This record gives sequence, structure tokens and C-alpha cells, in this order.
Amino acid sequence: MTALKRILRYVQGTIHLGLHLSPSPITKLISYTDANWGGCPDTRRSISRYCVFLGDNLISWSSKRQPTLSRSSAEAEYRGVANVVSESCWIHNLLLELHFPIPHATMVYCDNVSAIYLSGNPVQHQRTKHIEMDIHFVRERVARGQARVLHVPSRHQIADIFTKGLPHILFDDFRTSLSVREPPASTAGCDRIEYLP
Amino acid sequence: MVFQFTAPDTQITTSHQPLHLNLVLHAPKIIKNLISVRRLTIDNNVSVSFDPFGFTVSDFQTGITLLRCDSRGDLYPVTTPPSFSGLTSNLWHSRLSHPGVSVLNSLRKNKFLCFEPFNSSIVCDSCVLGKHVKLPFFDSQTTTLMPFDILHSDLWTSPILSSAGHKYYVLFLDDFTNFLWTFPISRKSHVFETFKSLTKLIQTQFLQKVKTFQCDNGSEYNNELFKKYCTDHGLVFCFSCPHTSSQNGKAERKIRTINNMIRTMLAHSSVPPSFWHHALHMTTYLLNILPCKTLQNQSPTKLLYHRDPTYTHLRAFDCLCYPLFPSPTTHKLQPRSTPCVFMDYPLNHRGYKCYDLSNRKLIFSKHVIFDETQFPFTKMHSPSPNSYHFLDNDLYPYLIHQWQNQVLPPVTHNQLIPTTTIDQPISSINQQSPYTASPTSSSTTPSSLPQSPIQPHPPPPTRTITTRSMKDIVKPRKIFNLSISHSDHTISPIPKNPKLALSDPNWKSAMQSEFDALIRNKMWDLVPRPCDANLIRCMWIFRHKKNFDGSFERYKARLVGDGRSQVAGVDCDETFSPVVKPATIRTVITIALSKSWPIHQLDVQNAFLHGDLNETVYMHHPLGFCDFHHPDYVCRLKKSLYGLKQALKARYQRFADYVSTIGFQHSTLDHSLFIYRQQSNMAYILLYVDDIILITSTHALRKSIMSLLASEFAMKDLGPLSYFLGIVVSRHPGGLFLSQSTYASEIIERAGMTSCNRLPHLSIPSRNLAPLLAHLMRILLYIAVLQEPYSTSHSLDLTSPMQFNKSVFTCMHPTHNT
Repeated sequence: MTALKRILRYVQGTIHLGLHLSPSPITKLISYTDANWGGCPDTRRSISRYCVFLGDNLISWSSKRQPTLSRSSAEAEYRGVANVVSESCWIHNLLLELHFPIPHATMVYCDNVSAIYLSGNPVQHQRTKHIEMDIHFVRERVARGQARVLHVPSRHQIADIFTKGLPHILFDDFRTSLSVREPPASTAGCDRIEYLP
Repeated sequence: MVFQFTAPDTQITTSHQPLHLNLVLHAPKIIKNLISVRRLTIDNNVSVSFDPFGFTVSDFQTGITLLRCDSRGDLYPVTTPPSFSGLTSNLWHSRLSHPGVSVLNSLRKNKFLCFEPFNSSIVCDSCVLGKHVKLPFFDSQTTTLMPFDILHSDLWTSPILSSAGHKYYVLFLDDFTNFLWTFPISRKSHVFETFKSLTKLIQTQFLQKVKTFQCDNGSEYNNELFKKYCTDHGLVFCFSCPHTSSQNGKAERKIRTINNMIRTMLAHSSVPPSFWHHALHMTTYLLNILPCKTLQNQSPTKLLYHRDPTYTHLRAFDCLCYPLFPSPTTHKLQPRSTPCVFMDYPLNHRGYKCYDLSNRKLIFSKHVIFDETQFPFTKMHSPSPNSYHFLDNDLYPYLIHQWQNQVLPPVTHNQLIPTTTIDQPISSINQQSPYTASPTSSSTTPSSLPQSPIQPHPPPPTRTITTRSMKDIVKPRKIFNLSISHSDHTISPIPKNPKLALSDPNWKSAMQSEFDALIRNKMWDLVPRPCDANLIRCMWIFRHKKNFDGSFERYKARLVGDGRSQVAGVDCDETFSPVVKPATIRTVITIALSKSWPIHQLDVQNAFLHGDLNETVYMHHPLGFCDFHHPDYVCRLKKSLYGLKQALKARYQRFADYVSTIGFQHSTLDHSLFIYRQQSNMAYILLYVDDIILITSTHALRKSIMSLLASEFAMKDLGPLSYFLGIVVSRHPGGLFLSQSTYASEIIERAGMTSCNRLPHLSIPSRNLAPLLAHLMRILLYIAVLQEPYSTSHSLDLTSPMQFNKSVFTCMHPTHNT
């Protein structure tokens, strides 16, 4: 109940905030992924999160407990990578269907070096036998040039905001990066400024 | 002598054995039949003795007279019995249509008929079947030597609930002393508990045990609980035979006595019949101290307690009385007493139980002054004499509603001028009270059973504490009470049922417009009701339609079918319907923004909602709009109605079918997205139930598409996207701003936390958190998923990851169906 009240207080405190969508060129799809290994205190399953940006606009995000238990942090992260790659593929295909194909590969930023190596390096590791599906899925996408998994230092790992409690400054910083901002100081009639029917 | 032929052997019937006549010869010339004595004696081994008056044939060996014939002439004639003599008594019994033994015997005795004496030990079946009656009862020969050798019991059902909610009273009567216990009870199942506590009381107070328990065959006695108790405690359990209440006659007769007394007492003081339990207490008390004829004019109390009862403390039932208030409750100048009605002698108090008519309270007091000539109830109402018929033994259905529903008016003081008669000093009451005379304690008083579940009224405190609920001050519990609707009081509240709605002009007009729209769209045909068809119900749903800023827009009534009454395979088939994914919305909006395309919002009026129906569905008439000419007809739906299981699917299908005819393509990745492309002209349609977002590359295209849609569906153009799925969309030079502040503030208001301290950041909450309210969670998740990505997801997963993740999954992959 205390937590619930706290959440409601937070909702009250941030009620004025909203998501900004800006007219940005639709050229690149960038996603950030993160996982907290063994993050669920009850089941010790990991919780993986991601957010996907189309241009500058945040269009998709998720915070989801993984359905299986991971035995290493790399494995947990890797599953997160697989999740975001599949989501990116979906958006990629959607854009294709909307007749706005993306020429570049989807960037997947991950802060776990092992997971990055796993995605590119065709080495069968002893410890990754049981996540073969995910391994091959991501590797295939990477090999076909549809996705690239890159490293991002934790300082710029935006998906961290979904995972753990952060210092206030970093929290605010990431929140702004997710284009969640205060409403712009609008002038009268500005919401009709875009076009007139 | 000429013998023509030899006749067969014949015989002479006698009272014992027949006499055989062998070798009978037929001689037509002889005018009399002659018997050879020699032949007769040899054949039958009899002796024949002749005397001047006749002759006697007797058995030679035993000497029993077989036949005696008188002789009045020269011959010794054999006078045979009359011609019917061969018939048996049974035949006569049946010929005379089964008369009684005495009738047959009288006929035989007077020689009207001659047959063997009727054997009364033979049972005639037909007589039993036709004329069986109750056998006589004989006086009971049972004698008891000690109290509690036999305990009689019976239950009486009152047709009127007592004011304390009693429906029955159970009676226990000791056979030896005639001492009586009665307990008003509200349910038959309480009989066993009452019995158990009474046996315990007897054990404690008299150091005796009940040896035999006599009761009738009612299910309240004849059950496993009773039987087990009796076997456990060595009690003999005697039932009366079914439908033979006379075997339980002692208890039955006592009930009649009690009811007579109650009726008399109620009639004398004009008390409402619902007060019968007070009269019952009084009656029991009095019966136990009154002398009894069967006890040689001794009283039950004398026999049980070995002391004479006193009568000086008795007062008339329901007379006017004035109990003394315990102490000046508020100030010294307050009245010391109030006019009350004397009810009875309380079980556990040495005093009197009085009923305060003005505030309807029971007062227990020792210091009471009585006026036994005044009966306050008489002045309030004079009941008709048949008001007390409910106490008659034959229980014809008799309901006295006017009594039960009557609110007793307060007694005004000037009506009751007390002619103060101090009957007895208080001290003498105390001394002569039967309670003090009892050697054990006050709890052994007659008719007392100090068990709290039996006591109808717990002794209320004479001092009253005023609580808020007594003054109807109710403060609604608002915090986290999500069901409270915070609506403006100037608009009509949402009615609870259609009848209330019909009485409200605002809602009635809303219903009428909905009904008219349905008729306009030819939703149904009226057809005669087909037999064995599944008829579904329909109902009205009422809502306040609000603007995006939360202000009231209009009253909305919607007729919906009840999908629960549908049967799969009969009148519904596939029931899924896709809804748009949030990510798709944002992607499409991003594209539109980057290309500066107009984003338009459309609302579909109810017409579009009613997709074509493939299945045959029959529905009842909508409530309040029944067809007067054919009230027995039913509606055969032609289009799907809200609430039907296939409604979403039908609606989606209809829209999808139509837009594909005007050139839209169905997206394979999101089924709610429709894409149009004609060279450089592009258009997207996003469908979410009945909200539509239309994005076109040019205004001309938008207008043409909208006109096409409007030709098929009743469309409402809501202009540029501003409010969609609870999200307020505002435009600014830098793009779009999506905000859920309206929705979020509504949640906070519902949770009663409007004035809480605002929290700009979520710090790390502790991990051992209580389970959260599921409903609030769901609402918060809606925010989390649809719009603000980080705000709630982070803390929610720490608190309840399972719920959160599950819900996220459902929302992220909305396969909304049914």
C-alpha cells in the first residue's frame, strides 16, 4: 500500500509531463536494451526492458519479465537483445508496409560486452547451448545486416531507467532523453498552426 | 314298496357335525321321508334317545347332543333348519355389506337368520380397508416418582414474527412437577441447543438428569443431533407416532393452555400481537406458580423447589408503570421517570422489565410504580378481536400486516395521567420476591434459563450513547474507493435501472434517440416468437459522455444485448476483434509528423457499430419500448448489437470490408491498420473500436475519403487529432505533445489522493511490499503502456512484477477479443 501511494504521488507529481513526438526524419531505428539479472525477488527470473526510437521519437517500449530463468547476466542480456531485435523487426516491417522503408540497420545498444560478442561471434559457447534459438535469431539478423548490436556505456544506457532506481539527476536526464517532457509553452491557437483544413 | 332309484348320499346338518344318510332310496309313493334309526346310529356312530317330547341324537362316545327335534304329533319328525341353513356367517357378512359383529349376532339370536356364530378373530380385509378408524387411546399408566423422569416437549409455530424476530416457541414440561420452561426461538434448529442448555441447567441446579424425553415426530427432534445426544447421555427418547400428536398430549394440552393465556393477556391490554414473546414469558412464569388440579392443587414451584410461591409482587401485564431512572443522567432537574409499559419479570434481574414507548427501549428497574388500571396500548389502538386468532391451534394463514408494519406512535405525557398507586414498597418486593426465596441463586428462578442465545433482548443500558450513525451522519469512505463517481450534481445521476431512467426526462430523451437510431438503421424485424429459439436479453447502459477536459457533454443511453445468454454455435460463432497496437499509433503519427501530413480523428456514430450479422439471433423487446400491437413478438436481429459476442468482430469485419472496397489494404502486421497508396497519395486508417484516426498525404484525399466513409457510416468529424484513447494530443511548433493528465488526475481523484504531496522522482522503494490493489494497478498500467514509458513501470515491477509483466504483455500484444 505504501508503494501504491508512492506511485500515485508520483503520478500526481508528474501529471503535467507528456510524450513529445517531433517531426524527425525517418531514417534510423535505434533501440536500447537492458536486463537486470535475477531481478525478480520471487522467482529470480530476469527482467528485460527496451525502448525503440524511430528517429528522435520514442515509439515502443517494454518492461517484461523473461519467461525462463537465466543462469548468467550475459544470457539475460542476450534474451533482452533478442526481444528488442524481434520488436525492431516488426517495426521495420511495419514501416516497409507503410511505404517508408528504413535503409539502415537497426542499432541495438546493449551495455553487456559478452552479449555483444555473442551476437556477432559465431562461436558456440558451452554456456549458451540452451539459448540457441535466441542466439541464432539475432546472429541471423546481424549477418543479414538488418541489425547491429553495439555497446553503450551505462552512463548513456537509457533503458536503465526501466530497470533500477537511479540518482535524481540521471533519472531526469534519461527521462528527457525518452522525450518525456513538460508541455511546451504554447500560445493561443498554436495547436491549429500546423494546417488548416 | 317300489324304489325307483337310489339317490346319492345326503346329510342332515346339525350344530356340530353333519349326520350322513347313506343308501338313500327314492320311493315316490311314500309321502314322507323316513330315516332308519339303526342305519343312522351305525353310519354316524351316534345314539338316539326318545322321550315324550321328542328325540335327541347325541354322539355315542362323547355324549354331546348333535340334534334335538321336538315332536308334537305321533311321529318323531326330523325338523331340519330353514333352507338357508347351509350359508356361512361370512357370506351373510358380505351380503349385508359388512355389518358389525353385534348386528350379525343380534340377527342370529333373534332367529331371523341361522348360521354359525361369527368368528370375530377373523379379519375381514374389506372392512379394514373401508372402515378403519383410529383406535381409542387409553389413559397413560405411566407414573413418575421423581422430577425429570419424563420431560415433555413440543414446538409451536407462530404465524406472526415477534418484535424480536421469533417465529417459534419451544416448550419443555416436567411430567412429575408440571414445571414449565418456554423459549421463543427464531429457527427450528435452535431447539437442540435449547434442549442441551436446559439439561445442563437441570444438572447444575437440581443435580438430576433427564431420564426420558417425550416429543413429537417433528424434524426438529427427530434428527441425528438429538439421537446422538440421547445415546451419549443415556436418555430414552420417545417419539410420538407420526401424525399422532395425541401421544404427546401433555405438551400439546399445555400449549393450548399457554396460548389461551397469551390471547387473554394480549386482548386485555390491547398489545400488538408481535409482543407475544413477552406474554409468553409472563404466562410461563404464572403457570409455574399457580396451583394445578392434577397436582392436588399444589403449584409446580412447590413441588420442584419445595417452597410456596409468593404472589404479592405480581402485576397486570402491560399496565402503565413508571420506572425510576438510575441517576440524574444530565442534570438534576430532569424528570425522574417516564411512563412505560410493564412487560414481564426479567430472567436475570430482580425487578421488572418495562418498555419505554417514547423511544422504544426496554428498561430494567427495581423501583417501579404501577398503575394497573391503565393500559397504554389500549389508547393507541384498539385491535379487532380477531387480531389474536393467530394463537388458535388450527393455523389458518393469518397475517396481520397492520400490526407488523405499524410504527408505534410516541405516547404523549398528558394522555397518561397517573393515578399513582404505590402497590408495594420496594423493599417488600425484594423480600417477597421468589428469587430471594430460592435457596440456590437468582438464576434458579422459575422459567429462567440464563443462556444468552435464548434471551430475546440483551439488557440494554439505560444510559444511551449518541453515535453518528444514530443521527444519520454518514461519511463516505473515499480513499481508494474507486466506485465513487465524482459527477456534478446539476446533471442527472446515472440511473440504477431503466425504470428510473424513464422517469427522468434527460435520460428518457437519450433512450428515445438511441431507439430511433436503431429503428432507422433497421436493426431488427419483429417476428412471431419461434419455438425452441434461444432468446437473448437486452439492457440499457447509461453513461455521461464527457469532453476531453472532463466536462459534461451529453447523456448517452445505449441498448446492448446480453452476450452471456448466447450459445456458441447457435447464435454466435467467431468472436475476436483486433485493436490497434500503441506502437503502431506512434509510428504512424511519427511518419505523419515528419511529412507534415494532417492527422484527423473521426468518430463513428452508432450506425457503423452494427455490423452485419451472419447468425440468426432473437432478442426480447427493449425495456420501455415494447411494440403495443405485437407484444408477444420478438426481435430478429439483422445487425449486431453492442454486447453480443460477435459484435466486435462483426463491426470490425464490416469496416474492413468496406475500406477494402475503396482501395485500402489491410496491414498484415497490425490488423487495425489500413493503408492506401495511389502513386504519391497515401492514407492510413487506424481503428480502435469506434475511434478512427485518419492520416492522409493531402487534404483533398482526406476529404474524399471522409466523404466515402460518411456515405457508408454515420460519421462525425472530430477535426484534427486532439483526444484519442484518453490521451490529450496538443500541437506545438515542435511537434505533438501527448499527455494523459486528464486521465491521471481522474485516477488520483478516484483514489482520494488529490491533496497528496507531489513526488517528482521515484526513489527506490523498499522491496518487501504489500500486495497492491489490482484495479488501481490495471489503471496505472494503462498509463504506463500507452504513454509514459518509465513513470510507473519501474516501480511497479519492483512491487509486483508478475502482474505488471502480464499486463504489459497483454497490452503490448493486444489481441482483444470477445
